[in-house]
Amino acid sequence: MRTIDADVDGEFVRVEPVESDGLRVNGIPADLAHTRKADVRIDLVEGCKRCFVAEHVLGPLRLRGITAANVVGTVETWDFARPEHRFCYGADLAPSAVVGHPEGLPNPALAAALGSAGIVSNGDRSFGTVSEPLEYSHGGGTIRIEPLDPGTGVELDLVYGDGSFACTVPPDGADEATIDAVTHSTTPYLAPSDEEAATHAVADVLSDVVVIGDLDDVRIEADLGDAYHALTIGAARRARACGAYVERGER
Amino acid sequence: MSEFPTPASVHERALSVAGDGPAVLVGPALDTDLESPDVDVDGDCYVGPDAAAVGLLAAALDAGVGRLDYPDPSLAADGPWLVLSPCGGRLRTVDCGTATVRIEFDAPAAGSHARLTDQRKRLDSVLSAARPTHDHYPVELDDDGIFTTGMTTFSLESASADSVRLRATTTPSTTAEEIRDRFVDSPDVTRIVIERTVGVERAAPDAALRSAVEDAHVSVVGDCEYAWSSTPTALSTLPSANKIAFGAGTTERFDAEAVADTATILSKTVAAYGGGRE
Repeated sequence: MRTIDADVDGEFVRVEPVESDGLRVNGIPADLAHTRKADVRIDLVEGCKRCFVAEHVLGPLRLRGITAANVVGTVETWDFARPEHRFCYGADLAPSAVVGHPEGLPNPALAAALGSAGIVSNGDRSFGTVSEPLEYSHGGGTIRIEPLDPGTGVELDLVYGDGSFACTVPPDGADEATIDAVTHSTTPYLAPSDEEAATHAVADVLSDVVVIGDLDDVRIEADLGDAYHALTIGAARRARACGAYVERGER
Repeated sequence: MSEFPTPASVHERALSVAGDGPAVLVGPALDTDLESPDVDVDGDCYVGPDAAAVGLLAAALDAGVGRLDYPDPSLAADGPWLVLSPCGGRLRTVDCGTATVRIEFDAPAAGSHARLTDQRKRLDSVLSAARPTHDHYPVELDDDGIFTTGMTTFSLESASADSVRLRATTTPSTTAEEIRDRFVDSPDVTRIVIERTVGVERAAPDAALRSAVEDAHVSVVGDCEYAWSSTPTALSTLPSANKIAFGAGTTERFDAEAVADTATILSKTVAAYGGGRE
Protein backbone atom coordinates (compact mmCIF):
# COMPACT_ATOMS: atom_id res chain seq x y z
CA MET A 1 0.00 0.00 0.00
CA ARG A 2 1.06 3.59 -0.58
CA THR A 3 -0.09 6.38 1.68
CA ILE A 4 1.14 9.81 2.74
CA ASP A 5 3.18 10.58 5.85
CA ALA A 6 1.03 13.56 6.95
CA ASP A 7 -2.17 15.41 6.07
CA VAL A 8 -2.20 16.98 2.60
CA ASP A 9 -4.44 19.92 1.72
CA GLY A 10 -6.04 20.18 -1.70
CA GLU A 11 -8.73 22.62 -2.74
CA PHE A 12 -12.01 21.85 -0.97
CA VAL A 13 -10.58 18.66 0.58
CA ARG A 14 -7.88 17.41 2.93
CA VAL A 15 -6.29 13.97 2.60
CA GLU A 16 -5.32 12.05 5.72
CA PRO A 17 -2.98 9.05 5.97
CA VAL A 18 -4.44 5.74 7.15
CA GLU A 19 -2.89 2.56 8.48
CA SER A 20 -4.79 0.02 6.41
CA ASP A 21 -5.11 -0.25 2.64
CA GLY A 22 -7.94 1.29 0.69
CA LEU A 23 -9.26 4.74 -0.15
CA ARG A 24 -12.14 6.34 1.73
CA VAL A 25 -14.03 9.58 1.20
CA ASN A 26 -15.41 11.20 4.34
CA GLY A 27 -14.88 7.78 5.92
CA ILE A 28 -16.88 5.87 3.31
CA PRO A 29 -14.98 3.07 1.55
CA ALA A 30 -14.47 3.71 -2.17
CA ASP A 31 -15.67 0.37 -3.49
CA LEU A 32 -18.51 -1.04 -5.53
CA ALA A 33 -20.57 -1.99 -2.48
CA HIS A 34 -20.71 1.67 -1.40
CA THR A 35 -21.30 3.15 -4.87
CA ARG A 36 -24.92 4.26 -4.97
CA LYS A 37 -25.11 6.70 -7.85
CA ALA A 38 -23.13 6.23 -11.04
CA ASP A 39 -24.25 8.27 -14.04
CA VAL A 40 -23.15 11.88 -14.34
CA ARG A 41 -21.18 11.52 -11.09
CA ILE A 42 -20.24 9.00 -8.42
CA ASP A 43 -21.79 9.14 -4.95
CA LEU A 44 -20.65 6.83 -2.16
CA VAL A 45 -23.14 5.91 0.57
CA GLU A 46 -22.75 4.25 3.95
CA GLY A 47 -25.73 4.30 6.30
CA CYS A 48 -26.83 7.93 6.67
CA LYS A 49 -23.56 9.25 5.22
CA ARG A 50 -23.17 10.18 1.58
CA CYS A 51 -20.37 11.87 -0.34
CA PHE A 52 -20.80 13.43 -3.74
CA VAL A 53 -18.59 13.54 -6.86
CA ALA A 54 -16.07 11.12 -5.38
CA GLU A 55 -14.42 10.54 -8.77
CA HIS A 56 -12.83 13.97 -8.69
CA VAL A 57 -10.68 13.04 -5.69
CA LEU A 58 -10.22 9.32 -6.35
CA GLY A 59 -8.83 10.02 -9.84
CA PRO A 60 -6.02 12.31 -8.63
CA LEU A 61 -5.13 9.86 -5.86
CA ARG A 62 -4.64 7.03 -8.36
CA LEU A 63 -2.75 9.37 -10.69
CA ARG A 64 -0.29 9.77 -7.80
CA GLY A 65 -0.30 6.06 -6.94
CA ILE A 66 -1.90 6.55 -3.52
CA THR A 67 -3.83 3.44 -2.48
CA ALA A 68 -4.51 4.17 1.20
CA ALA A 69 -5.97 7.46 2.48
CA ASN A 70 -9.09 9.15 3.72
CA VAL A 71 -10.32 12.23 1.85
CA VAL A 72 -12.16 14.76 4.01
CA GLY A 73 -14.37 17.44 2.46
CA THR A 74 -13.68 20.93 3.80
CA VAL A 75 -16.28 23.12 2.08
CA GLU A 76 -18.37 25.12 4.55
CA THR A 77 -20.41 27.43 2.32
CA TRP A 78 -23.34 26.64 0.08
CA ASP A 79 -23.45 27.13 -3.67
CA PHE A 80 -27.00 26.14 -4.50
CA ALA A 81 -26.34 26.44 -8.23
CA ARG A 82 -24.71 23.04 -7.77
CA PRO A 83 -27.33 20.23 -7.76
CA GLU A 84 -25.22 18.32 -5.21
CA HIS A 85 -25.39 21.22 -2.77
CA ARG A 86 -29.16 21.35 -3.19
CA PHE A 87 -29.31 17.61 -2.49
CA CYS A 88 -27.22 18.06 0.67
CA TYR A 89 -29.32 20.95 1.95
CA GLY A 90 -32.53 19.06 1.25
CA ALA A 91 -31.26 15.95 3.05
CA ASP A 92 -29.81 17.95 5.97
CA LEU A 93 -26.22 17.07 5.08
CA ALA A 94 -23.30 19.52 5.31
CA PRO A 95 -21.74 21.04 2.16
CA SER A 96 -18.52 19.21 3.03
CA ALA A 97 -20.24 16.05 1.78
CA VAL A 98 -19.53 17.39 -1.72
CA VAL A 99 -15.87 16.71 -2.53
CA GLY A 100 -16.03 17.55 -6.24
CA HIS A 101 -14.36 20.68 -7.55
CA PRO A 102 -16.87 23.45 -8.42
CA GLU A 103 -15.22 23.95 -11.83
CA GLY A 104 -15.54 20.27 -12.67
CA LEU A 105 -11.79 19.63 -12.40
CA PRO A 106 -10.11 16.56 -10.88
CA ASN A 107 -8.69 18.75 -8.11
CA PRO A 108 -5.40 20.00 -9.60
CA ALA A 109 -4.31 21.51 -6.28
CA LEU A 110 -4.70 18.14 -4.58
CA ALA A 111 -2.69 16.40 -7.29
CA ALA A 112 0.04 19.03 -7.01
CA ALA A 113 0.16 18.82 -3.21
CA LEU A 114 0.35 15.03 -3.31
CA GLY A 115 3.30 15.36 -5.68
CA SER A 116 5.39 16.98 -2.99
CA ALA A 117 4.08 14.91 -0.10
CA GLY A 118 6.08 12.26 1.69
CA ILE A 119 5.02 8.76 0.65
CA VAL A 120 4.95 5.74 2.95
CA SER A 121 4.96 2.46 1.09
CA ASN A 122 4.88 -1.21 2.07
CA GLY A 123 3.89 -4.44 0.39
CA ASP A 124 0.71 -5.34 2.18
CA ARG A 125 -1.78 -4.32 -0.47
CA SER A 126 -3.94 -6.88 -2.17
CA PHE A 127 -5.66 -5.87 -5.36
CA GLY A 128 -7.63 -7.33 -8.19
CA THR A 129 -7.50 -7.51 -11.95
CA VAL A 130 -9.27 -9.35 -14.75
CA SER A 131 -8.30 -12.86 -15.77
CA GLU A 132 -9.45 -12.38 -19.35
CA PRO A 133 -10.61 -9.53 -21.60
CA LEU A 134 -13.99 -8.07 -20.76
CA GLU A 135 -16.25 -5.95 -22.96
CA TYR A 136 -19.26 -4.01 -21.80
CA SER A 137 -21.66 -1.55 -23.43
CA HIS A 138 -24.08 0.92 -21.89
CA GLY A 139 -25.73 4.21 -22.80
CA GLY A 140 -24.10 4.47 -26.20
CA GLY A 141 -20.62 3.77 -24.85
CA THR A 142 -18.39 0.71 -24.98
CA ILE A 143 -15.45 -0.34 -22.82
CA ARG A 144 -12.88 -3.13 -23.06
CA ILE A 145 -10.70 -4.15 -20.13
CA GLU A 146 -7.90 -6.64 -20.60
CA PRO A 147 -5.22 -7.92 -18.24
CA LEU A 148 -1.60 -6.73 -18.33
CA ASP A 149 1.53 -8.21 -16.81
CA PRO A 150 1.82 -7.87 -13.03
CA GLY A 151 3.27 -4.54 -11.98
CA THR A 152 2.41 -2.78 -15.23
CA GLY A 153 -0.28 -0.52 -13.80
CA VAL A 154 -2.93 0.94 -16.11
CA GLU A 155 -2.94 1.76 -19.81
CA LEU A 156 -5.77 3.96 -20.98
CA ASP A 157 -6.97 4.73 -24.49
CA LEU A 158 -10.12 6.82 -24.26
CA VAL A 159 -12.41 8.40 -26.84
CA TYR A 160 -15.10 10.97 -26.13
CA GLY A 161 -16.95 12.31 -29.17
CA ASP A 162 -14.27 13.58 -31.54
CA GLY A 163 -11.63 13.73 -28.82
CA SER A 164 -9.22 11.10 -27.57
CA PHE A 165 -6.48 10.69 -24.98
CA ALA A 166 -4.08 7.84 -24.22
CA CYS A 167 -1.65 7.47 -21.33
CA THR A 168 -0.12 5.02 -18.88
CA VAL A 169 -0.41 5.16 -15.12
CA PRO A 170 2.16 2.90 -13.44
CA PRO A 171 1.51 1.64 -9.89
CA ASP A 172 3.44 4.54 -8.34
CA GLY A 173 1.71 7.20 -10.42
CA ALA A 174 1.68 8.90 -13.80
CA ASP A 175 4.24 11.36 -15.16
CA GLU A 176 3.86 15.06 -14.35
CA ALA A 177 2.72 16.05 -17.83
CA THR A 178 -0.12 13.53 -17.74
CA ILE A 179 -1.17 14.54 -14.24
CA ASP A 180 -1.12 18.21 -15.19
CA ALA A 181 -3.13 17.63 -18.38
CA VAL A 182 -5.76 15.45 -16.73
CA THR A 183 -6.30 17.50 -13.59
CA HIS A 184 -6.63 20.76 -15.54
CA SER A 185 -9.26 19.34 -17.90
CA THR A 186 -12.91 20.05 -17.22
CA THR A 187 -15.70 17.51 -16.87
CA PRO A 188 -17.43 16.72 -20.20
CA TYR A 189 -20.61 18.64 -19.33
CA LEU A 190 -18.59 21.85 -18.95
CA ALA A 191 -15.64 21.10 -21.24
CA PRO A 192 -15.12 23.43 -24.22
CA SER A 193 -13.99 20.55 -26.47
CA ASP A 194 -14.23 16.78 -26.81
CA GLU A 195 -10.44 16.63 -26.56
CA GLU A 196 -10.55 18.18 -23.09
CA ALA A 197 -13.44 15.92 -22.09
CA ALA A 198 -11.48 12.82 -23.15
CA THR A 199 -8.47 14.01 -21.15
CA HIS A 200 -10.63 14.65 -18.08
CA ALA A 201 -12.14 11.17 -18.44
CA VAL A 202 -8.81 9.61 -17.48
CA ALA A 203 -9.42 10.66 -13.87
CA ASP A 204 -12.99 9.35 -13.98
CA VAL A 205 -12.03 5.97 -15.45
CA LEU A 206 -9.20 5.54 -12.95
CA SER A 207 -11.64 6.35 -10.16
CA ASP A 208 -14.35 4.00 -11.34
CA VAL A 209 -12.58 1.02 -12.85
CA VAL A 210 -9.26 0.99 -10.98
CA VAL A 211 -10.06 2.39 -7.52
CA ILE A 212 -13.74 1.59 -6.99
CA GLY A 213 -13.75 -1.45 -9.27
CA ASP A 214 -10.40 -2.65 -7.91
CA LEU A 215 -9.09 -3.61 -11.36
CA ASP A 216 -5.39 -2.80 -11.72
CA ASP A 217 -2.70 -4.00 -14.11
CA VAL A 218 -5.19 -3.56 -16.95
CA ARG A 219 -5.49 -1.94 -20.32
CA ILE A 220 -8.70 0.05 -20.69
CA GLU A 221 -10.05 1.08 -24.08
CA ALA A 222 -13.30 2.98 -24.07
CA ASP A 223 -15.53 4.99 -26.38
CA LEU A 224 -17.44 6.97 -23.79
CA GLY A 225 -21.03 8.12 -24.17
CA ASP A 226 -22.93 10.58 -22.00
CA ALA A 227 -23.23 9.93 -18.25
CA TYR A 228 -20.44 7.39 -18.68
CA HIS A 229 -20.04 6.46 -15.02
CA ALA A 230 -22.83 3.95 -15.63
CA LEU A 231 -20.56 2.39 -18.27
CA THR A 232 -17.39 2.33 -16.19
CA ILE A 233 -18.96 1.19 -12.94
CA GLY A 234 -21.14 -1.22 -14.90
CA ALA A 235 -18.03 -2.80 -16.42
CA ALA A 236 -16.45 -3.25 -13.00
CA ARG A 237 -19.62 -4.89 -11.73
CA ARG A 238 -19.75 -7.08 -14.83
CA ALA A 239 -16.20 -8.27 -14.14
CA ARG A 240 -17.41 -9.73 -10.88
CA ALA A 241 -20.69 -11.05 -12.26
CA CYS A 242 -19.01 -12.95 -15.09
CA GLY A 243 -16.15 -14.29 -12.99
CA ALA A 244 -13.39 -12.32 -14.73
CA TYR A 245 -12.38 -10.52 -11.52
CA VAL A 246 -9.47 -12.19 -9.72
CA GLU A 247 -7.28 -11.27 -6.80
CA ARG A 248 -3.81 -10.63 -8.16
CA GLY A 249 -1.84 -10.39 -4.95
CA GLU A 250 0.14 -7.82 -3.08
CA ARG A 251 2.46 -5.03 -4.05
CA MET B 1 -54.45 -6.97 -16.72
CA SER B 2 -56.88 -4.43 -15.31
CA GLU B 3 -57.95 -1.47 -17.40
CA PHE B 4 -56.15 1.82 -16.79
CA PRO B 5 -58.57 3.78 -14.60
CA THR B 6 -60.39 6.79 -16.00
CA PRO B 7 -59.90 10.14 -14.25
CA ALA B 8 -63.57 10.11 -13.25
CA SER B 9 -63.29 6.70 -11.59
CA VAL B 10 -60.14 7.78 -9.74
CA HIS B 11 -61.94 10.83 -8.36
CA GLU B 12 -64.99 8.80 -7.36
CA ARG B 13 -62.98 6.15 -5.53
CA ALA B 14 -60.88 8.77 -3.74
CA LEU B 15 -63.99 10.35 -2.22
CA SER B 16 -64.72 7.21 -0.24
CA VAL B 17 -61.29 6.70 1.36
CA ALA B 18 -61.41 6.81 5.15
CA GLY B 19 -59.14 5.31 7.75
CA ASP B 20 -55.99 5.74 9.80
CA GLY B 21 -52.33 6.36 9.11
CA PRO B 22 -50.13 9.27 8.17
CA ALA B 23 -51.89 11.93 6.15
CA VAL B 24 -51.42 11.71 2.40
CA LEU B 25 -51.85 14.86 0.35
CA VAL B 26 -51.92 14.78 -3.45
CA GLY B 27 -50.08 18.04 -4.04
CA PRO B 28 -51.22 18.92 -7.57
CA ALA B 29 -54.84 18.17 -6.62
CA LEU B 30 -54.85 21.26 -4.38
CA ASP B 31 -55.30 23.55 -7.36
CA THR B 32 -57.24 21.16 -9.56
CA ASP B 33 -60.90 20.38 -10.00
CA LEU B 34 -60.70 16.64 -10.43
CA GLU B 35 -64.41 16.39 -11.12
CA SER B 36 -63.55 17.71 -14.56
CA PRO B 37 -59.78 17.50 -14.92
CA ASP B 38 -57.84 18.75 -17.93
CA VAL B 39 -56.35 15.38 -18.81
CA ASP B 40 -56.48 12.79 -21.57
CA VAL B 41 -55.87 9.07 -21.31
CA ASP B 42 -53.40 7.92 -23.97
CA GLY B 43 -53.19 4.16 -23.58
CA ASP B 44 -51.74 3.56 -20.12
CA CYS B 45 -50.78 7.17 -19.59
CA TYR B 46 -52.44 10.34 -18.29
CA VAL B 47 -51.47 13.30 -20.46
CA GLY B 48 -52.22 16.99 -19.93
CA PRO B 49 -51.97 19.75 -17.34
CA ASP B 50 -53.72 17.64 -14.66
CA ALA B 51 -51.98 14.35 -15.49
CA ALA B 52 -49.94 14.26 -12.28
CA ALA B 53 -52.94 15.12 -10.09
CA VAL B 54 -54.91 12.17 -11.47
CA GLY B 55 -51.92 9.80 -11.59
CA LEU B 56 -50.80 10.51 -8.03
CA LEU B 57 -54.36 10.14 -6.76
CA ALA B 58 -54.58 6.79 -8.55
CA ALA B 59 -51.29 5.78 -6.91
CA ALA B 60 -52.58 6.68 -3.45
CA LEU B 61 -55.63 4.47 -4.07
CA ASP B 62 -53.48 1.59 -5.33
CA ALA B 63 -51.30 1.92 -2.23
CA GLY B 64 -54.38 1.44 -0.07
CA VAL B 65 -53.67 4.46 2.13
CA GLY B 66 -56.02 5.00 5.01
CA ARG B 67 -55.92 8.77 5.40
CA LEU B 68 -56.19 10.55 2.10
CA ASP B 69 -56.71 14.29 2.59
CA TYR B 70 -58.93 14.73 -0.43
CA PRO B 71 -60.68 16.71 -1.81
CA ASP B 72 -60.63 19.28 1.03
CA PRO B 73 -57.43 18.75 3.02
CA SER B 74 -56.96 20.08 6.53
CA LEU B 75 -53.84 21.98 5.61
CA ALA B 76 -53.34 23.50 9.05
CA ALA B 77 -53.15 20.09 10.72
CA ASP B 78 -49.91 18.86 12.25
CA GLY B 79 -47.78 16.39 10.35
CA PRO B 80 -46.62 13.93 9.45
CA TRP B 81 -47.59 14.69 5.86
CA LEU B 82 -46.76 12.55 2.88
CA VAL B 83 -47.08 14.95 -0.04
CA LEU B 84 -47.37 13.19 -3.36
CA SER B 85 -45.80 15.26 -6.14
CA PRO B 86 -44.45 14.61 -9.64
CA CYS B 87 -40.82 14.43 -8.49
CA GLY B 88 -39.53 11.96 -11.07
CA GLY B 89 -38.73 9.43 -8.34
CA ARG B 90 -36.88 11.89 -6.10
CA LEU B 91 -37.65 13.28 -2.65
CA ARG B 92 -38.17 16.94 -1.81
CA THR B 93 -37.99 19.02 1.34
CA VAL B 94 -37.32 22.37 -0.32
CA ASP B 95 -39.43 24.53 -2.62
CA CYS B 96 -37.96 27.76 -3.92
CA GLY B 97 -39.80 30.87 -2.77
CA THR B 98 -40.99 33.98 -4.52
CA ALA B 99 -40.76 37.72 -3.98
CA THR B 100 -41.63 40.85 -5.89
CA VAL B 101 -39.03 43.51 -6.53
CA ARG B 102 -40.14 47.05 -7.44
CA ILE B 103 -37.36 49.28 -8.73
CA GLU B 104 -38.31 52.94 -8.72
CA PHE B 105 -36.61 55.68 -10.72
CA ASP B 106 -36.29 59.45 -10.78
CA ALA B 107 -39.15 61.26 -12.44
CA PRO B 108 -38.91 60.65 -16.19
CA ALA B 109 -37.66 63.40 -18.48
CA ALA B 110 -40.16 65.80 -19.97
CA GLY B 111 -41.15 65.21 -23.58
CA SER B 112 -42.36 61.98 -25.05
CA HIS B 113 -39.16 61.12 -26.95
CA ALA B 114 -36.91 61.71 -23.94
CA ARG B 115 -39.34 59.83 -21.73
CA LEU B 116 -39.31 56.77 -24.01
CA THR B 117 -35.52 56.90 -24.28
CA ASP B 118 -35.20 57.01 -20.51
CA GLN B 119 -37.65 54.17 -20.07
CA ARG B 120 -35.82 52.00 -22.60
CA LYS B 121 -32.46 52.71 -21.01
CA ARG B 122 -33.71 51.97 -17.51
CA LEU B 123 -35.47 48.77 -18.52
CA ASP B 124 -32.45 47.52 -20.47
CA SER B 125 -30.21 48.14 -17.50
CA VAL B 126 -32.51 46.34 -15.07
CA LEU B 127 -32.99 43.36 -17.38
CA SER B 128 -29.25 43.14 -17.91
CA ALA B 129 -28.65 43.11 -14.15
CA ALA B 130 -31.42 40.53 -13.74
CA ARG B 131 -29.75 37.95 -15.99
CA PRO B 132 -28.30 35.00 -14.07
CA THR B 133 -24.51 34.75 -14.01
CA HIS B 134 -22.14 32.25 -12.46
CA ASP B 135 -18.37 32.00 -12.35
CA HIS B 136 -18.27 28.41 -13.56
CA TYR B 137 -21.58 27.29 -15.06
CA PRO B 138 -23.33 28.21 -18.34
CA VAL B 139 -26.43 29.45 -16.54
CA GLU B 140 -27.55 31.65 -19.43
CA LEU B 141 -28.19 28.45 -21.45
CA ASP B 142 -29.71 26.50 -18.56
CA ASP B 143 -33.20 25.85 -19.92
CA ASP B 144 -33.59 22.75 -17.72
CA GLY B 145 -32.80 24.57 -14.48
CA ILE B 146 -29.85 22.33 -13.64
CA PHE B 147 -28.05 25.29 -12.11
CA THR B 148 -30.59 28.13 -12.00
CA THR B 149 -33.01 26.17 -9.79
CA GLY B 150 -30.62 27.02 -6.95
CA MET B 151 -30.10 30.66 -7.86
CA THR B 152 -31.99 33.86 -7.23
CA THR B 153 -33.59 34.57 -10.62
CA PHE B 154 -35.87 37.28 -11.95
CA SER B 155 -38.60 37.65 -14.53
CA LEU B 156 -40.26 40.84 -15.71
CA GLU B 157 -43.79 41.47 -14.49
CA SER B 158 -44.35 45.06 -15.63
CA ALA B 159 -42.56 48.26 -16.57
CA SER B 160 -43.60 51.89 -16.59
CA ALA B 161 -41.85 55.24 -16.95
CA ASP B 162 -40.99 55.42 -13.27
CA SER B 163 -40.68 51.79 -12.13
CA VAL B 164 -39.97 48.21 -13.11
CA ARG B 165 -41.58 45.30 -11.32
CA LEU B 166 -39.86 41.91 -11.24
CA ARG B 167 -40.84 38.52 -9.90
CA ALA B 168 -37.96 36.92 -8.03
CA THR B 169 -37.47 33.22 -7.39
CA THR B 170 -35.65 32.85 -4.10
CA THR B 171 -33.48 30.24 -2.40
CA PRO B 172 -32.42 29.70 1.22
CA SER B 173 -29.41 31.93 0.61
CA THR B 174 -31.28 34.80 -1.03
CA THR B 175 -31.03 38.06 0.90
CA ALA B 176 -32.61 41.46 0.41
CA GLU B 177 -29.11 42.94 0.35
CA GLU B 178 -28.12 40.63 -2.52
CA ILE B 179 -31.14 41.75 -4.51
CA ARG B 180 -30.56 45.45 -3.81
CA ASP B 181 -26.89 45.15 -4.75
CA ARG B 182 -27.92 43.67 -8.05
CA PHE B 183 -29.97 46.66 -9.15
CA VAL B 184 -28.71 49.62 -7.15
CA ASP B 185 -26.26 50.70 -9.86
CA SER B 186 -28.87 50.81 -12.61
CA PRO B 187 -29.35 54.40 -13.84
CA ASP B 188 -31.69 56.77 -11.98
CA VAL B 189 -32.72 54.23 -9.31
CA THR B 190 -34.20 55.95 -6.28
CA ARG B 191 -35.67 53.06 -4.32
CA ILE B 192 -35.85 49.26 -4.37
CA VAL B 193 -38.78 47.66 -2.60
CA ILE B 194 -38.69 43.91 -1.95
CA GLU B 195 -41.72 42.00 -0.76
CA ARG B 196 -41.50 38.33 0.07
CA THR B 197 -44.47 36.40 -1.34
CA VAL B 198 -43.59 32.82 -0.40
CA GLY B 199 -40.62 32.15 1.85
CA VAL B 200 -38.21 29.24 1.67
CA GLU B 201 -38.28 26.89 4.61
CA ARG B 202 -36.79 23.42 4.52
CA ALA B 203 -39.20 20.76 5.73
CA ALA B 204 -38.02 18.73 8.70
CA PRO B 205 -39.62 15.28 8.50
CA ASP B 206 -39.05 13.26 11.65
CA ALA B 207 -36.22 10.74 11.53
CA ALA B 208 -38.48 7.70 11.30
CA LEU B 209 -40.43 9.20 8.41
CA ARG B 210 -37.26 10.11 6.54
CA SER B 211 -35.83 6.68 7.06
CA ALA B 212 -39.04 5.00 5.88
CA VAL B 213 -39.41 7.08 2.74
CA GLU B 214 -35.69 6.90 1.85
CA ASP B 215 -35.61 3.12 2.25
CA ALA B 216 -38.74 2.82 0.13
CA HIS B 217 -37.09 4.85 -2.64
CA VAL B 218 -33.93 2.76 -2.56
CA SER B 219 -35.93 -0.43 -2.89
CA VAL B 220 -38.05 0.86 -5.78
CA VAL B 221 -35.85 3.28 -7.79
CA GLY B 222 -32.42 2.29 -6.46
CA ASP B 223 -31.55 5.57 -4.74
CA CYS B 224 -33.01 8.30 -2.55
CA GLU B 225 -32.06 11.51 -4.31
CA TYR B 226 -33.26 14.89 -3.07
CA ALA B 227 -34.10 17.71 -5.45
CA TRP B 228 -35.80 21.10 -5.16
CA SER B 229 -38.84 22.53 -6.85
CA SER B 230 -38.10 25.79 -8.66
CA THR B 231 -41.53 27.09 -7.68
CA PRO B 232 -43.63 26.92 -4.50
CA THR B 233 -45.85 23.83 -4.34
CA ALA B 234 -48.28 22.21 -1.93
CA LEU B 235 -45.29 21.33 0.25
CA SER B 236 -44.74 25.00 1.07
CA THR B 237 -48.44 25.50 1.69
CA LEU B 238 -48.48 23.13 4.67
CA PRO B 239 -47.52 24.96 7.88
CA SER B 240 -46.27 21.79 9.58
CA ALA B 241 -42.54 21.11 9.26
CA ASN B 242 -43.06 17.36 9.54
CA LYS B 243 -43.62 16.67 5.85
CA ILE B 244 -41.87 15.37 2.78
CA ALA B 245 -42.77 15.33 -0.91
CA PHE B 246 -42.12 12.49 -3.31
CA GLY B 247 -43.57 10.62 -6.26
CA ALA B 248 -42.72 9.45 -9.75
CA GLY B 249 -43.78 10.98 -13.05
CA THR B 250 -43.96 14.51 -14.36
CA THR B 251 -46.63 17.19 -14.20
CA GLU B 252 -48.06 16.65 -17.66
CA ARG B 253 -47.28 12.98 -18.27
CA PHE B 254 -48.01 10.23 -15.78
CA ASP B 255 -47.98 6.65 -17.02
CA ALA B 256 -48.85 3.28 -15.50
CA GLU B 257 -45.25 2.72 -14.38
CA ALA B 258 -45.24 6.05 -12.56
CA VAL B 259 -48.50 5.11 -10.86
CA ALA B 260 -47.11 1.72 -9.85
CA ASP B 261 -43.78 3.12 -8.61
CA THR B 262 -45.46 5.85 -6.59
CA ALA B 263 -47.93 3.37 -5.12
CA THR B 264 -45.16 0.97 -4.11
CA ILE B 265 -43.02 3.71 -2.55
CA LEU B 266 -46.04 5.02 -0.67
CA SER B 267 -47.21 1.66 0.61
CA LYS B 268 -43.69 0.68 1.72
CA THR B 269 -43.29 4.04 3.45
CA VAL B 270 -46.57 3.73 5.32
CA ALA B 271 -45.85 0.11 6.26
CA ALA B 272 -42.42 0.98 7.67
CA TYR B 273 -43.46 4.22 9.33
CA GLY B 274 -46.71 3.07 10.82
CA GLY B 275 -48.54 5.73 12.87
CA GLY B 276 -49.43 9.23 12.02
CA ARG B 277 -51.35 12.09 13.49
CA GLU B 278 -54.42 11.37 15.53
